[in-house]
Amino acid sequence: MSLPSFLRCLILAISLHCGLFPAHFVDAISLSSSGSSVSLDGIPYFIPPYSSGKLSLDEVDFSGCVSVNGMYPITLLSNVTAESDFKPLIESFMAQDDVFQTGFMQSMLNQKQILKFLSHIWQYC
Amino acid sequence: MLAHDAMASYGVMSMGTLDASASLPQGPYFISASTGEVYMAYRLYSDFQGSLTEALLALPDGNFTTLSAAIQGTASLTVGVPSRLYYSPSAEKPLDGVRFGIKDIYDIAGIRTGNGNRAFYNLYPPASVNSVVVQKLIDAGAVIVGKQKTSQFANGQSATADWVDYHSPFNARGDGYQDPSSSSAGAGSSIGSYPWLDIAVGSDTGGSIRGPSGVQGLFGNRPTHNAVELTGVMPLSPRLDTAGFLTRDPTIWTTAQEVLYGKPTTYNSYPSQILLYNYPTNASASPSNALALDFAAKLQSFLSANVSSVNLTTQWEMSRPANTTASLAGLLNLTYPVIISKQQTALVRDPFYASYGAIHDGRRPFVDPAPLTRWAYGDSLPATALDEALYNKTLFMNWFNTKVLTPDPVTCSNAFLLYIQSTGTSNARNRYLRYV
Repeated sequence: MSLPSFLRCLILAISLHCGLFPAHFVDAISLSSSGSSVSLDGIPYFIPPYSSGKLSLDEVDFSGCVSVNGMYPITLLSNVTAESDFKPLIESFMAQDDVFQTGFMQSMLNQKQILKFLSHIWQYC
Repeated sequence: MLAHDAMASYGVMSMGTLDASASLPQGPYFISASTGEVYMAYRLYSDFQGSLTEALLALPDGNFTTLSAAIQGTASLTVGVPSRLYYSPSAEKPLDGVRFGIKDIYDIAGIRTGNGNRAFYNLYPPASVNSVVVQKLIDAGAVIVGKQKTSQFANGQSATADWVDYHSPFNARGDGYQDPSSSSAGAGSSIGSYPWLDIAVGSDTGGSIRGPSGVQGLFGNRPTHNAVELTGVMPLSPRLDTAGFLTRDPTIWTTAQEVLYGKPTTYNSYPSQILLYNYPTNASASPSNALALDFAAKLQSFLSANVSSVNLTTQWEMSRPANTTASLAGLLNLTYPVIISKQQTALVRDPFYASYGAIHDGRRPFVDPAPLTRWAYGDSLPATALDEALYNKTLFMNWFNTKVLTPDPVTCSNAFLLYIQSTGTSNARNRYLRYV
């Protein structure tokens, strides 16, 4: 570009830095989520803004599963190795808990004992 | 950085890190497919009975914040409850996952305590630590879902006109428009109405748990005075205040009491005497009479007990201490209002007025008529009135504990004393009461 227009760009850049957007204002801004509300099969749920842990999802395929804003309803399991174990387990979940619903059963993920990896993945979506 | 178990005790899972070692409890979650972050699922319910002042969300650092959600309803808060599947009661955490409501006179870290008064709520900053009562419950695994309405400064208020700063909660019993009693009004209302809520913490100074539990048909207890430390709780009268529960489930009730008061002394046999105080005698006179007499008969059968009526007035006449000539009514008829008004004006009203006036050009905060009337009564009495009232209370207490209901090394107490708390008579919330 020509020298005069380069100088114009330089002057504009300097005035932006010094005048319109002082650097010390940028640090003072804070923004955080208070969580989000969703509706799963017509039942209202709240998703808190802090997570409880992180899973490795290398072998999980969520395509075709219901989601909203990149969030998928799942069920985490422990020590479940066969689909044949599901029926009594789900029945006990339903009997014991008002929060668990069939909508969470699209992805049933059994965790390994350590390191939050998955040993078994069952998906119905 | 708190250990995983300590964080879990606040009703939340530990913050995820790549080298965290434990797997998460079974149950429903939401997962971000892009990050792999896993989030707890909270089901949302409407506080359609107006029992709560604030719905709470536990944070990983142990503080609480307002739960930010709203579902359809009319002038009603929305409450969120985490899945029960995340929690496993154990010896260390016997209340793990149990859903609690807390009367808004108990401090909860991160949340303002309002005591049923809007000016008070707005004047003071959020509590920095949990009250001792709340901390004990949280340490045992309790899930705190909200703060509950109290009549103002825990003084009794009748629905509806007495309730100025906050609308009185609704009582689900009868026609749905009965007084929920007070001062633990939100506690009684919520436990009587919400199957998703397990137990509420109230307080009882002169009946503030017994009243609401009685008219909502719940279990409720006023424990022995000093059964638990009341640090971080608004006082009405430190000499009479107690912390107790309202619940539908006697098993949870027992566990909660052991957590708060400690395991009781073990006694191997029950008293074999029942004392009836102001008890009905005619079962056909009313349905509640029939119920009360049927209960007494069942208890008598269970204990193989002797049953007798106790008349405190005549018994006092016969055996009162030598240093008093007063009748029972003469000794006690003003004791309670003197004690609570004198103690609360000194401990709550005076510092409140001073702090409020300091930033509002000497003006006074708004206070509902009921506590205002109580405080004015206390102001009208000399300073010596409190000492006299406490003296009379102590005189009666010592007499009662030696002549009526006495400790027993084998059965804990010499007798069960039964009196009727609520007879189910109508007390409508839409009546205007005549000022007398």
